[in-house]
Amino acid sequence: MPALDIPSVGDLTRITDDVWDSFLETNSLTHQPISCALPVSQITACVHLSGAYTGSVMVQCSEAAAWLIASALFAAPAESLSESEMTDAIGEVANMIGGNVKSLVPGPSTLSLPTVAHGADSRLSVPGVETVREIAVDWHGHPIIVSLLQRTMEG
Amino acid sequence: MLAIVIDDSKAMRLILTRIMQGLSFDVLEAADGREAIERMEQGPLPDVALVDWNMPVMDGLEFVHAVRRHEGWRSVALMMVTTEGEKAQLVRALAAGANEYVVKPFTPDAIAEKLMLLGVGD
Repeated sequence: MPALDIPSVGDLTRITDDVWDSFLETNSLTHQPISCALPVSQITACVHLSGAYTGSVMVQCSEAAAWLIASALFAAPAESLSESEMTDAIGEVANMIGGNVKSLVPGPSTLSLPTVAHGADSRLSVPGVETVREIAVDWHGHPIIVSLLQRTMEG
Repeated sequence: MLAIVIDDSKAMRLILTRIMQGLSFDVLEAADGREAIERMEQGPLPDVALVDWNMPVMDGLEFVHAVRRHEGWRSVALMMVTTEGEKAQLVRALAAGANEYVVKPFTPDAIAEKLMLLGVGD
């Protein structure tokens, strides 16, 4: 059951837009209904919140989208970047979104360093949490999902 | 003028380095507070440090405390550049000795404006 006083979908949208506008590409995200068909995510970047609010913020996308994000952040062609630079970039996106979400959840809470899982068969699961907010955006034809998870009463 | 950019994200270090170079700074980089301290001990001393908060090894707040304990480093301006946006965190950083605070995501203009407030750079 979602707790009170958590960021709204509008908050999550605004935060994601701000990150994209500042560091990737201005006014380039198209917000999608969450019910849109989404590909199997191959990259999941996650930061964890612990304290008065316990949960996670996840950014899920395809590997192609992650390379595109890295190319934008590093201002370099994707083919010139290493895998660690790609995971660094998507991890930093999750960090910025998560950090701004942290400002809107009950505090005090601490923010973890980013974790990035990638690979065709990868799934990043956070035990004992449920998704309480989620948005889907399209960036140059690449779906990206941003989720806020919260510890369940039983977690 | 010399700046040191301290962030565990290579992408973020690159973004800040470009901004600072655009403002005519020479730039050093460090991936955490400990590495930044070591670079500062080797010299030259930077005029300003742009400091992330959440980093492994030595985080930004520990770095600020370490710099402010060092007698010879009082001239170094410390600007937090961080996702930690809550007022309580800002108060902690300023109480520890940080001089300015920018929340990510930021614009180059925001960095330039804060540097002007610090009296560092153009």
